[in-house]
Amino acid sequence: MGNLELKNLSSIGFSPKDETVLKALTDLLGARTRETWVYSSPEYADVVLLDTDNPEAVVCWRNDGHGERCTTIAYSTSAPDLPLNRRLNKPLRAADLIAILNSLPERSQPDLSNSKATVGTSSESIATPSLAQRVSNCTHGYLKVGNGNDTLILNRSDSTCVISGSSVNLLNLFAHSDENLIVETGAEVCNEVPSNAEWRNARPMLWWIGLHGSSGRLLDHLDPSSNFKIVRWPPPSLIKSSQHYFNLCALLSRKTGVTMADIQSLTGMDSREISAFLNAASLFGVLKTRISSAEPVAANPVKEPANKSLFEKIRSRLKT
Amino acid sequence: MSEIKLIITGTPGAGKTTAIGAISETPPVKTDTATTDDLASVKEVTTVAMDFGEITLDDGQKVFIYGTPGQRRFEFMWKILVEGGLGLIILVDCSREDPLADLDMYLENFADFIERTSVVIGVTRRDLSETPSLDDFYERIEGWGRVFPVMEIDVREAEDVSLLVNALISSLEFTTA
Repeated sequence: MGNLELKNLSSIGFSPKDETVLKALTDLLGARTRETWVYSSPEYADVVLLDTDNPEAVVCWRNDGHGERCTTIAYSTSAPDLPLNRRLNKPLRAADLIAILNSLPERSQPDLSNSKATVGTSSESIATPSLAQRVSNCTHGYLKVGNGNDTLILNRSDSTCVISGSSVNLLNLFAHSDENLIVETGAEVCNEVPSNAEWRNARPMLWWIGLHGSSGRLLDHLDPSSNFKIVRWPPPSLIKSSQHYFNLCALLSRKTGVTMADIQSLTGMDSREISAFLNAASLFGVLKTRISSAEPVAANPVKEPANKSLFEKIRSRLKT
Repeated sequence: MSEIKLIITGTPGAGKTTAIGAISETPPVKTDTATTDDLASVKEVTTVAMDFGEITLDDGQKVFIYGTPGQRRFEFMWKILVEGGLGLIILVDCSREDPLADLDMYLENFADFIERTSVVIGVTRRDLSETPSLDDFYERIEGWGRVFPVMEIDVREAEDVSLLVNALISSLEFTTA
C-alpha cells in the first residue's frame, strides 16, 4: 500500500508524448508503489528520469547539478555512457516504472557514480540497504564488493562477474563481518581488473548474494503479501546444501504461488531465511510475483500430507 | 502394507536402467533383449518389460523403483507399471533428434498419473548436445501451471539420481499436496 509521504518524480529531456505518458502513469501508480509519487518540476524532484538519448538534456542535467541533488534514472534505448546505475528502457511501461521506483532505497540518495559506502552493523544498519538490496538496486553497470584482497566485480548489464583475491570460494567473502565490506559502483571499479581476467556467468553468484547477503530483509520491490512463484528450479548445485531449499522450490512451484505467510505456516521456517531465499530467487531471475487476491493458503487449515513420514524416510535413505 | 514404487520412464538409451542401478541396493533386475532395430547403433540391448531395483528404508519398508521400457510400442506396459505409483521420473536423452517432442510424448501418455502425483524431468547426455536449453524444457511444461523440476543429470552418478528423487519427493510433499 502506498505510503502517505509524497515523493516528487520528474523528467528531463522527454518528448512531449513521453512526458504526457509519464504524468498519466504517475497519477495511476496509486498503491502499486511503496511511496506516493507526484509529478513535479525537476527543481523539486526526489527522482528524475533523464532521457540520455537527448544530448541537450544531458548537458542541462549536468549543469543544473541534478545528479548531486537527487536520484537520476536513465531513460534510453540502450545503455548510456553515463555514470548512472539505474535505467529504464524505452518505451515507458508502467510495470518497469513501478519496479524501478519500488527498488529505490527508502530515502532516495544522490546516485553518484563513485559512491563508496560501508555496509555496517552499527545503529545505522537498519537504514543501510543489505548487500542483496544494493545488488538489486544496481540494475546496470559495474558493482564491486570487496573486503581486503577479496573482490567480486559484477557487470550487471551482461550478468557476468570477476573474482579475485584469496577467497577462491566467494562465500568466504560474504562470511566477512559487514563492517568492512565495501560496495562501490561505477565504471572505474573495473580499472583494477587484469585484462586477462575471466568474466564468468554471475547468476550463481547472485544466488549466493541473495542467500547470504540479505541481512534477513526482503528486497524492497518484493511485497511479502503478494504471491510468489518460481518459473524454474535453480540448478541442484545451488540448492543441494539444504533440504529446506528443495522444499521451498517445491512450494513456490504451486500453480497459484504462495505468500510469505503461507511459507512460514507450511514449513515453520524463520522469516529471515525465507526472505533470503526469495531474494536469491529474485536476483537469480526465476521469481515471479503477483498481487494476491485469493484467500492465503495459510488461512486454510494446514493439512499434513498423508505420506509425510514416508517422504522423510526416503530422503533420509537417499542421504546415506 | 501397500507397495511403494517410483517409476522411471524415458526414451530408449536415456539411462533408465543405469539410473536405477545408481541408487538401488541390489543390482537392477533387467528384462533386456538384443536390439535389432534402429536402436542397435545406440545400445546393444534394450528393456522389453521393465527394470526393477529397490531401496530399504530405516523401518525395513521397501521402495521399489520400476523402469519402463522406453520404446513406444511397449506403451501398454506404462499404464500397468504406474498403477499405485508414488511419482514419475522422465529421463530425456538430449542427443536424440527432438528431445522436446520426446518429452511431450511421455507427458501426454502419463498425463493422468502426473495430474494425481508429480513428475521430475532428468535431462541426460548433455555432454553430447547442449540443446535444447533447460529454458526450452521449462517452456514446454508451462501449460501445466505447476512447475516441475527439470535437472541436468549424469545417470551414472548416484548423487545426481538421488537429487532427482529428492526433488520429486519435495514436489509430491509441497507442490501437489
